[in-house]
Amino acid sequence: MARVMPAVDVVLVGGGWTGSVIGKELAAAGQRVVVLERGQPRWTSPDFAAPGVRDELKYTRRHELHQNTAMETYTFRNRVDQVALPMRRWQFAYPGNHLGGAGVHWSGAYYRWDPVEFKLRSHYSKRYGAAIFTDDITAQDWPLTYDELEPYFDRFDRLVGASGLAGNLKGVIQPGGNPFEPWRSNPYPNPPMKVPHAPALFGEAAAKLGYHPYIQPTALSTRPYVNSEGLRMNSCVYCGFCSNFGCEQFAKASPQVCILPAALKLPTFELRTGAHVLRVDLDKDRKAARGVSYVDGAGMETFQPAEVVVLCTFAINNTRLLLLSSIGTPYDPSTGKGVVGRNYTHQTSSGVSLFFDESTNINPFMGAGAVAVTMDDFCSDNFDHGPLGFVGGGYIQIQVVSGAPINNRPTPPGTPAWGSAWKKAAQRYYNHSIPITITASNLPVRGGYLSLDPTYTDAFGESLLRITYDFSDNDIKLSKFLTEKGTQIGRAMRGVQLAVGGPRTKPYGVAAYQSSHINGGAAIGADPGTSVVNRFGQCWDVPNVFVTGAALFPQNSCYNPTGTIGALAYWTADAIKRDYLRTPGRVIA
Amino acid sequence: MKALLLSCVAGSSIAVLAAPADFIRPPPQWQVALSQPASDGTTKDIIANGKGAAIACAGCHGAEGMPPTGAPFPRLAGLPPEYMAKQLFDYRDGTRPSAVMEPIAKALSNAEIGSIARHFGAQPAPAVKSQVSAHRGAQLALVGDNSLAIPACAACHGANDIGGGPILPPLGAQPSAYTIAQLQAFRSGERHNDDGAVMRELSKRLSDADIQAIASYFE
Repeated sequence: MARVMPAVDVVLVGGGWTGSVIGKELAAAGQRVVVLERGQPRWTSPDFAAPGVRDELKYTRRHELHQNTAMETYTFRNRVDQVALPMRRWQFAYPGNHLGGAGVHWSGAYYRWDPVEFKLRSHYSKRYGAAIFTDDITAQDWPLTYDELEPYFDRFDRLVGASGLAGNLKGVIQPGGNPFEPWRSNPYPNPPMKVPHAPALFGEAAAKLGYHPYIQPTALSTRPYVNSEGLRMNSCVYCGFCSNFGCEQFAKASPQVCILPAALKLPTFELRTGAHVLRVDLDKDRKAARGVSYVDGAGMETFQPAEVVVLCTFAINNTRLLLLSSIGTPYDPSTGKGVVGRNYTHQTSSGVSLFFDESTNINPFMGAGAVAVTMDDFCSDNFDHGPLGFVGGGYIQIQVVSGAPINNRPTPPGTPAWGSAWKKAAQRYYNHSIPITITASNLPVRGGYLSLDPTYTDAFGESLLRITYDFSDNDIKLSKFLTEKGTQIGRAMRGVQLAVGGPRTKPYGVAAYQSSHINGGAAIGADPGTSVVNRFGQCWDVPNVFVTGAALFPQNSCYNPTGTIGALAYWTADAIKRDYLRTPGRVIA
Repeated sequence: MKALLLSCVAGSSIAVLAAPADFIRPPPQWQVALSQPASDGTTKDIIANGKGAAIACAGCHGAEGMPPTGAPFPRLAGLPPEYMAKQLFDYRDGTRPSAVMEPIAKALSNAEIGSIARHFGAQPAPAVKSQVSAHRGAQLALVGDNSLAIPACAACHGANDIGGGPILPPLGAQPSAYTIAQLQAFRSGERHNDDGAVMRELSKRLSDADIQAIASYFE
């Protein structure tokens, strides 16, 4: 018999960005809130104090801040006629774990999604004809627009201390910014990052070719900043340890820097770490949630009664919780019916390896996870797709992520993988090589979905989440197009001796890193026949359960997800406060 | 700059005319100065005897960059030449105001600044006291303070007094009076040659007792 905790108004599963934002908003509105975080509490000081935190082996190779695959992982296959196998070690993406979640170990690349992304199918169909979508593509419009979300983007900007130069203020294009940027009501709270040498060379070449390079916006503060919660952020010092690390400087936005200290001051807000949620418990007719069951740090099964449940786990883990809790009808790829698990997507990423002469010093260790010069000329629908015959786009950039010595050993193609020839090349190129990275959108396919694995279980005996996915021809064409453009820019850069493009090819695999942006399974939509949640993230079938984060994405944009996830979190929190709590238990109209 | 017509989602069109920014920056003056040649004899002469309005470096800092015990002047021995060259330029342009150092920096040529910085950088750094302690200075130096959003000094300036790179000086073996004076100057904003206002901001969150504790730790 599980221990039963005192009832609360709202239980949030996961202590990352969305759990922290919504938890704090509702607690401030007087709701009694509990956030359940499966991992450990981690704070900038002492947990991320340098130099201890700059440990590539611990954080990158051994995945200190990532989901522990010995406890819980995903299984994967390309097609339904294959048997999925579990991932024992993260390679394709780095799902977050511990307090702050992926909002701790992210790079801080900070974007708003383009308005087109929110009406993808109708926009492309109108401009190019519906046939631009092949039959296997299940992309669909969002039930809300960029304009509706803009105030919430603005709000999240001020929480994370976003840094950048506005390209479009209320429709007026601004000099020096990104001219393709979606309109914004306010400038970025902080100025853009400084530009390291390699991105500067990229920007020079891209501009020469007629493109519109600009400095990537980040959630790394570029000056001392007091955020919208009255919490302090410091200037980024470009130490180069963002991706996979906690920020030692209070400069990279994370829930523990930007919101949790304010939330924890509220008497109505409680954070419980070491609480691994197993499922949402429903009442007999499965129309309402009673609360959630979790295993605490001592291994005791515990029931937390609540009036409202908000799923705030890492991306697609929300989809798994829905499936484990029997909320909504699971998607069946053979009939196309059912909704939970449909529209899984990841990222269509590729790169161009650049090798420079020895007088061009890249200094790859002098950077920050998201410091980049980038360009949106081929993002979204910023270019004519008519003659190209595919949907989507991607950004092309040089970002100085890390010169960490285990991973960063670039050698030109044809170099032996070991021995003295490898050592010589590794030495020659360490400071004279960097890739152009291309991050592109990714479309969902009819045969791609998330489901419970029939064989493999986690440490608690619950079925693992199974990913079934392969790229559409659309995205392969897109990747080829973008990688050719990137290679042309690379060849135009000063000091480059060799530029080798590597477009994404089939099959989709999980043995190489693509991005940590894995999405879908709980698509947001206007039609309960093709979506799991309504425009406020509320489950159609169980109205006192809300879902947040990238699980809601019907398809993936080229743009990094956190800005949009943060805006959506505030959007959902407002809807719960404004509408749901007035008529609890009902689907918000 | 080529104008590109961009089909806007709202159905209207925006002419994209904004000229791309120039991302390439020239190297700072101190960096150029460090690569300029200067005769070794002249450098030693300036350090020992001064030059015009520039009084002798050795008078306060010692010929080998080690000030007399108990003096409030910083040790220069073994500090990164890049850091010292930058400071001399900063004294010149007033971002690090100092009644003593400003006329000196102004009297020196760029090449002399470079050669003096190289000279002191080449002197052996003094041994740093090994400090293992639970006091407040050690906490701020090595761990930071989460409630004040202050990272450890060592995050940038290096643990074990190795420094944090060419323009992030090691803090150890400095007179406490010097460290206190610098933190106070950052806190008041009088000294404002720190990149990204990092030190100005962090020092504002330090109490006088915190500053004293840090200075004692690094002395």
